Amino acid sequence: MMLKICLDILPDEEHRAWLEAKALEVSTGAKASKFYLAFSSAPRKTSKAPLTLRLAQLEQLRSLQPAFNPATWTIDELCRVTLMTCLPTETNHEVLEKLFGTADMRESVALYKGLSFLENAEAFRLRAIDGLRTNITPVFDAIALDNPYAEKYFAEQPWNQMVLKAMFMERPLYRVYGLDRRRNKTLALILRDYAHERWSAHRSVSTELWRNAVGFIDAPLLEDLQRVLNEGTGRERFAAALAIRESGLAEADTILDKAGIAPADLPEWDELGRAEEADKTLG
Amino acid sequence: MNFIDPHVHMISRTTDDYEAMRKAGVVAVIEPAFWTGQPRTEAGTFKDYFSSILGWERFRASQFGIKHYCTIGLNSKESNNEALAEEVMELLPMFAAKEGVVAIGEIGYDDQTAAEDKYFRLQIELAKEIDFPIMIHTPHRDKKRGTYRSMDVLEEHGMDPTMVVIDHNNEETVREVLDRGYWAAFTIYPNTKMGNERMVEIVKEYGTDRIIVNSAADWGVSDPLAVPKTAALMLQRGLTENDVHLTCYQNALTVYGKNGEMTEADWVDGFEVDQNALFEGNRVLRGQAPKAGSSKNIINN
Ligand SMILES: [Zn+2]
Repeated sequence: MMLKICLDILPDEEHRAWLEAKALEVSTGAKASKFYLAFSSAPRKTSKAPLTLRLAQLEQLRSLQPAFNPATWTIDELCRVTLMTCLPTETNHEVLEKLFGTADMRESVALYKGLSFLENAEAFRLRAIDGLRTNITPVFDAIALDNPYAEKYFAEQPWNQMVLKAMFMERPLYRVYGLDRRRNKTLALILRDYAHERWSAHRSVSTELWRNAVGFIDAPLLEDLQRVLNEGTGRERFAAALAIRESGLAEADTILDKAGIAPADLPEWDELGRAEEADKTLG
Repeated sequence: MNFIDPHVHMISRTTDDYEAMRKAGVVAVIEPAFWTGQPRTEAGTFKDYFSSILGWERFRASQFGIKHYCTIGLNSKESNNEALAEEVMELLPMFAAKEGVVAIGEIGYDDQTAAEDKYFRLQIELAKEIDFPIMIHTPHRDKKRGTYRSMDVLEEHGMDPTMVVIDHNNEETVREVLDRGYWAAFTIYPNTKMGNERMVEIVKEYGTDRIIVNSAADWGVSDPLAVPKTAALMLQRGLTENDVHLTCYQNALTVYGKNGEMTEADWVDGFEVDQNALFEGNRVLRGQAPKAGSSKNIINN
C-alpha cells in the first residue's frame, strides 16, 4: 500500500525504479543486510528534497497516518519508511531494533516517523518510549509531533512524560496528535507544577500549556488562570480564557466578562499554537 | 590554499590539532575506520566506534570549520580474530552506506593471513554491491608483495582500479600501482620512512596524476599538518601551485567524491559554524567564549 503511494509521489523515474527494486528484495525475504544498505542509501539513491504532493496523494497518506504533515517530510524519508513497511512482519522487529541501535540522526527520524505505518506498530512501543529520552530535537519531534503513534499506543504515564518534555523543549504542542483526547488529571497537575516553577524563576510558560488543563480545572488551577487573566500578555490571557470556557465552568461567562474578553474574539487552540511557533521560528 | 587530508584518524587527535589544521588551510578530512592501538574484544565496541566517527567526530570537526567524512570497514589486523570479525561483518551493512561515508576502508593485508584474505575479499564484494570506492591499507612488513597481492585480489574480483586508492605507498611500490591504473596515496610520517622531502621527489618523478598525499595521523607519533607542510615544501622546491592543488586536494576529492557523498559545495562557500551548537546535548567548549560564523573565519588566520 505504502509502496504504491510512494511510487506515485516520486517525481523521478530513476528513483522509482530504485525503490521498486529494493522494495521487492526486502519484501521477498532478502537478507537483513540488503535492507540496511537500501535504507542507508536512500538519500543518495533518491533525494533529500521536500515532498510536493497533490491533494489526493496527501489524502492517501493521511488515510494511513492521520497526522501526516508533508512539511516535515523529504523524499528519502518517505522511501525509507516505505522500505520499512516492506519488511515481513515476522522479522521486522528484530531487523529494525538493530537499526535503531546504529542509526544516524536522519535515519532515526525516519524510523520513528515510520513506526505508525507498520502493521505490528504496537510491537515497537518500548522503543518509541525510549526514543523520547533523546536530546536531539528532530528525533524527539519525529515521535512527539505530527505522529499518531503516541496517542494510539502510549499509556498515560509515557504520554504525560512526552507532553511535559515537549513543553521543556519548547515544542509546538498543537502538533501533538491526540492532545485533546488524551488530556488527564495527572497531566494537568504536572503542568500546573511546571508553570509554578517557571513563574518562580520569573519565566513565562507556553500558552499551549493550558490546553491540557481543559476539563480538569479545580479551585487552585482556576486561581492560576485568574492570575494569567489579570497579569498575562494578550495571547496568555486568550489561553486562560479558552481553558476556562472549554471546561464548561458555571462561572466562565462571568470570569471572561470581568476580564473583558468576548467569547467571539477567542481564537482556536491551534491558532494560538501556530502563533507561538511562528514567534519561535522568527527567534 | 585549501587542502584535504584524505587519511587522518581525528578520533585520536585534539582540538588544538583541528585548530592548527584549519589555520593551515585544511577544509576537509577523511577518517578511515581502522584499529585503535589495542585490539578490540567485542563487536559492540566496533559499533560504537563506527557511530563515533560518523557522529561525534564529524560534529567536532565541524566546530572548527572542517568537513569530516569517513570510510567504514573491518581492518586487516583485527580480521584475525575470526569470531569477532564475523560479528563485525554483520555490522558493516548497517554503517557502510550511511551519509558521509565515502569509501570502504581501510581494508587489505597486515600479516597476509588466510583470515585477512577472507574478510578483504568479502569487503571488496560489499564495495562492489554499493558501488563505493575502496581505500587499501598496505602492510608495513613485506610491503611490496602485500601491495601487489592486494591488487591481484582486487582484479580477481573485477574491481575497477579507478575506484581504488592504494595507500601508504613508497618508492618501491608506486610505479606498479600507477601502471595498473590505481590511485596511489602516500603517507607522510615525521622523521621516518616517507618524509615530505621524499614526497617532493616522488611528485617530481611521477607527476601528479593519481598521486595523493595524506598524514595518516593517529594516536602514534604523527603530524596532522603533514599535508600543508608537504605542500609548502613542494612550492619551495619549484613544483607549481597546480601540482600542489592536485596532490593535496583535487585528486582526493575526485576519487573519494565518486559515490557523491563528498562534494566541494560542502565547504567551498563556507558553512555555518556555531560553537554553541550541541551534539546529543554535548558541546566541544569547556567554558571558552563560543564563536559563531562562517567556517572560513571560525579560526583566526
Ligand atoms: Zn590509517
